[in-house]
Amino acid sequence: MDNFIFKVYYLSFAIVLAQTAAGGVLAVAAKNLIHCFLGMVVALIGVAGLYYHLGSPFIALMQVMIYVGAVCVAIAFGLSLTRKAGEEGLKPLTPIALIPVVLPAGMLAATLKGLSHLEKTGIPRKLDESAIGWHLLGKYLFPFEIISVLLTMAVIGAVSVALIRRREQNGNI
Amino acid sequence: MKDINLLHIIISLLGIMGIVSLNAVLVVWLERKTAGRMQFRHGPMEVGFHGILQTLADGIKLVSKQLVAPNHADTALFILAPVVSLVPIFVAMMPIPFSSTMLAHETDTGLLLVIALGLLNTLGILLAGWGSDNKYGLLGGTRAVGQILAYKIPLLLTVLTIVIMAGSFSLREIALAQHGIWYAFIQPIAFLVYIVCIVLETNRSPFDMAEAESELVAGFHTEYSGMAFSMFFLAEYSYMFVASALATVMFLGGWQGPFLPAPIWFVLKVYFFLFLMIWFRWTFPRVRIDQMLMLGWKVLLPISLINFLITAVVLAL
Repeated sequence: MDNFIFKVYYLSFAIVLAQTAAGGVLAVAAKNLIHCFLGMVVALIGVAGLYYHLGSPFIALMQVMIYVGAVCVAIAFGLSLTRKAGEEGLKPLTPIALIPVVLPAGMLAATLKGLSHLEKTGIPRKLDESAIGWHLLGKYLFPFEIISVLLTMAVIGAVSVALIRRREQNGNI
Repeated sequence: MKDINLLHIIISLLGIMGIVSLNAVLVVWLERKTAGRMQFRHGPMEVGFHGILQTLADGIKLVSKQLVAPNHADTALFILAPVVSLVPIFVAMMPIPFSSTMLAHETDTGLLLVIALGLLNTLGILLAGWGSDNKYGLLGGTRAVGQILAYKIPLLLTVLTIVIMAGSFSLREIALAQHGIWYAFIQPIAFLVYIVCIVLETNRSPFDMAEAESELVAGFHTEYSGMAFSMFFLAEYSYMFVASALATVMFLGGWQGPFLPAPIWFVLKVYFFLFLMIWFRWTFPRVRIDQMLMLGWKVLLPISLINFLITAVVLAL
C-alpha cells in the first residue's frame, strides 16, 4: 500500500511539474497576449500544486489566492484596458531572450549539484500552519514589519504617481 | 497525504456532483417560482407538480442544441472558459461540512480553499469574454474583473474577522465555535457586508454587471449556446450554493440546531441564503457599474476594515 501511495505521489508530482513548465513555455512563447496570460495562470497554479506536494497546503492556497486570484486578475484588468490586446501578434523572440533562460538553468544546475549528496526521502510531511504565524509574529517580526512598510510605501508611491499624471493632464484634480 | 481513503473520496465526489446538479435544478425552479409569485403570476406550472420538472426539460433541450462558435473566436479559449468556470466548484465543495462528520475532505485551511477556488470563476468569465470575439462579451468580462477587484478586499476582511474570532480556518471549527450564539448576532456588520459581497461574488442582480441584459445583450455569455451556456449557469448556481454554505458556516452556526438532523438544518440555512439572493434579484433594480465600484471601494472597504480593527482590539483586550 505504501509503495502504491509513493507511486501515485510521484506521478502527480510529475504531472504538476509538467504543467508548470508547459505554462511557463506558453507564457513566453505564445504570439497572442491573451495566450501568454493564460500560460502564466497555468504556471502559477502549477507552482501552487508544487507547494501542496511539498507538504504546505496553506502556502499553496495562498499562492492560488494571491497570484491567480489577485495578481493575474489585476494584470488581466490592465490587459483589457490596452487596445487590441488579443489581436496584435507579439514580436518573435530574439536571441537576447536566451539570457533569462540560460541564467536560471545554470543556477538550477549549480543548486542541484550542491544538493546531490542529500538522501532521497519519502513524501514530505505536512507543515504545521500555525508555526508560520508564530514565527512571523515572533522571531521574524522585524523583517515582516519591514516588508509591510515597504509595501505601504509602494502603494502610496503608486497613488501619488497616478495623481501627478492626472494633474498634468487635467490641470487640476 | 498518508491517510487518503480512496473509497471516501470517490463517494464524496459522486455526492458533490449530485449536489451540484440537484441544486441547479432546484434553484432555477425556486427562482422562476419566486419571480412569478412576486409579479402576481404562477411561474412554470406544466411539467410535473407545480412545474418542478421544468428545469429538467429545459436541460434536455439545452443538451440537444448545437454548440456554435463565432468565426473569429479563439476556439481554445471559447471551449475552455465554461470548463474553467465549473471545475473549481467540485474542489471548493469538498471542505464544506454538512454535519460534524459529513464532509468530503477535512482540512485546517478549508475556508481558504473555498475562497481561493471561488475566485477562479472570474477567470472563466474573463476567458469567455475574450475568447468569443464579441464586444459585448469583452465588456462583460472586463466588468467582471473590475467587480472582483472591488469586492474582494472587503470580503476577505470580513472572513478574517470571523477567523480571528473563531481562531481557525477550518470550517468545522468555525461552526463549532458558535455553539452558544451565532456570529450573525455578535458581528451584524460583518454579516451584512458578507451578504452584499456574496451577491457581488456570484454576479447576481442587482450586481450582475457582467451580463447586464439592458446594456450588454447577455454580456460574457452572449455567444454561448447549448451545453456550454448551461455550464455557465450550473457554475453560477453552484457558486451561489458554496457562498451560501460559507455564510451558513460563518454566521449561522453551520449544521447546529434543535430537533431536526444536522444535514437538514444545514441545507435549510443554505436555502435561506439562496432565497435571499433570489429575493434581491427580483426586488432591486440593477446598479450602474460606477455605483457598484463606488460601493465596493468607498463603502464596504472602510466599513469592513474598521469592523476588523475593532474586533481585533476587543479580542486582544
